[in-house]
Amino acid sequence: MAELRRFLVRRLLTFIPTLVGVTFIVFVIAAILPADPARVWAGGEKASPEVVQRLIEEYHLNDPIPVQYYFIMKKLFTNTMVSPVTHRYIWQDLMTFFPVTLQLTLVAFFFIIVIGIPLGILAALKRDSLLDTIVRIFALIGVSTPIFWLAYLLIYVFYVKLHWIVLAGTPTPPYKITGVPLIDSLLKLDFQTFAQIIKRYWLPGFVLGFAGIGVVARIVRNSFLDAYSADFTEFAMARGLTKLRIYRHVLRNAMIPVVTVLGLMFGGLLAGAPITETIFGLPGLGKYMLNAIRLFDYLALTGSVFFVGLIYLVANLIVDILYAVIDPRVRY
Amino acid sequence: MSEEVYEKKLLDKFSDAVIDAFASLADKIRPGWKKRNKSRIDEWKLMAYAFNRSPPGIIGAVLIVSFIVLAIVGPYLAPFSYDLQLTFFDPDAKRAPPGTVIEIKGKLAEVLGVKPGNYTLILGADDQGRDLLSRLLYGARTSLVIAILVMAVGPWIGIILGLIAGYYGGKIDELIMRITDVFLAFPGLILAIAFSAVLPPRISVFLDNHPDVRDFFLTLFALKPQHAGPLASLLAVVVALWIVWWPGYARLVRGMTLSERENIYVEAARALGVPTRWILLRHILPNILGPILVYLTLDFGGVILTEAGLSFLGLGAVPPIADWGRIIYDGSNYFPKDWWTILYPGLAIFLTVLGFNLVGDTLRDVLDPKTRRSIEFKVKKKREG
Repeated sequence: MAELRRFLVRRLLTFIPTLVGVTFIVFVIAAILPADPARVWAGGEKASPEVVQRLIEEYHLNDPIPVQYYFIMKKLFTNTMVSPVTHRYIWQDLMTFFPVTLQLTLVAFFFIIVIGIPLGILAALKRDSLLDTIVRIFALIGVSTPIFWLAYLLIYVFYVKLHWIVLAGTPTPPYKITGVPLIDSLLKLDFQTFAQIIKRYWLPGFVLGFAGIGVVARIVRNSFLDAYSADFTEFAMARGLTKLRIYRHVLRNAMIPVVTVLGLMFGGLLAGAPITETIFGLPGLGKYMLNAIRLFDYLALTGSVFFVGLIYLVANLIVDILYAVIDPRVRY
Repeated sequence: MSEEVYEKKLLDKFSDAVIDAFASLADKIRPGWKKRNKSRIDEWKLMAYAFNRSPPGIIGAVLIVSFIVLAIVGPYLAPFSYDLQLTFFDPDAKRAPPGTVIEIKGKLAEVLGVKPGNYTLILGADDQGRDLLSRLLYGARTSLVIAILVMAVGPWIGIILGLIAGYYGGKIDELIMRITDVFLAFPGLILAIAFSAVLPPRISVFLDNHPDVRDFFLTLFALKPQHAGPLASLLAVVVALWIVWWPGYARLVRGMTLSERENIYVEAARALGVPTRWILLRHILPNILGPILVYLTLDFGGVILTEAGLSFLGLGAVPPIADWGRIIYDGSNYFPKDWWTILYPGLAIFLTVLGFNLVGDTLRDVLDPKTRRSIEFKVKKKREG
């Protein structure tokens, strides 16, 4: 236990320099601004010089680099960054857009787990069979498919032809517990809202998760086979355990690498969201980022990159800790 | 190893001929190379033999070769230029479905340098009345050039940093890996989006100051001189993908270098006073190149996919540049009626990326020494039995 604690302390300590590094990259993005951002923000060529001057002062655009860095980080960490274009608090915006992305990611994750893991186990059990080959090819197809293309193909089938999905609106229940409607409606046992959300989200979620399904199936298959050829399995066979019980042992051991990959994939799904959100018209983080780019709102862009980086970092931290807790053999 | 025991098919003879030709070339440049590397050449032939036994690998190789050939000759093969609006000749060309026949005649054809006559738009036309087939052919060039530019630099930053970190260890290792961690702290696509959004103005200024560099890239992308503006945003994507594509390699190569440097041959080289640079590039790198090669192949497809995704989001390729992702983005406004502007470019991306993934996946097996030994073993058994 002491060892685990030492690991946690060390892991948390490396978290801090990484976070500082993240702020540097975020600042670099903010610093590669186009020639005259204040003029763009004030409305282009016709902007009055006073407004431009005021914006330059307000956002420290002509100050030395360290001052700019201090200004941006102070505003980001105290959640007081105001967008020069929309005049709204960026952090507040992020908080309203993030639940949509999170819901989307959760649905995608659901598909990956529910389809990917059983598929991987089946492929391992029927090793070198037709099914195994199909899973292998499916995985390759999954990572080769442009998700924006897949999205349109599936919209054509499920929306234009079959009408199985709703493509407008984002249901928001009148109550608020976690702020994520998908989870809230489940907690409140409000199945009507839940069904509405699912009807809106299942296809985007599937599209987002598509590439991951095959990848996870492959990893589950390989780690299942690794565990199956391990000494403890042979021992279990020698003891004459039933097949089912052997598989249970194998599965538990095979899941360890799978958990790590799933954890890392969660962050990757968050990142893949911009494309899916654009196609399905979901007002999530990715959409917010792209809007910010369109409006030359570089501070909102910077803010969202920082936000995503922060979430990704925390997700990886949790994965590492989980890994150390699940697998008692792992020590760093 | 006697070669006669293998049942050589036509494909094997072809791959052997390619390897032999390469060996003779190397022998001409550096006399004695062939003799010194006899075992290596045999091993390569065995790899090709194993590769030729894998149908997915062959399908992938065919896909890759056709993509590269089309990307090189495509712009010359295309019936029209990527930005030619056929609506000048026939108003029906706007959003024309596949198979539409248009007639090109009159003075305008002369001015625009198009041969008069009847043309069948095999894949249809987009909302500007531009021939989709021509745009797809030019788009292959865009994809290939971007992928080559990214892969020629991005991963190698990571490989070199990984070699240095793994070989020296200690503080240098710690520093490099912390920097790598910072870049890995962002999901790749998000960072790529951010950088390709903010970089274009800077690159534009650079290109204006360096006309020769600009002209070089214009030729490379097969663009008309008047489209130098959109070039900046294409190159912004390249730079953005450099930034995103190195950290994974740094981590991978560092790990492999760590275990490789413990080998006796590294110690021997060090004892002989071989310079470190030489040890890293000539001794360690060739020995860890196998897995790297697999990742490079897979990532070549990955870059094409990511670039198309960025273009789809409105970053990267700007009209009128032909880019597969951008064609889908422009076509999506007319979905589902104009299905051809989405189906065909998507298919092009899919088949290209699939090609690289199939080959990469097969290479993983082929480069695994176990696979090759098992082939030798099988042959031996066959001969004895």
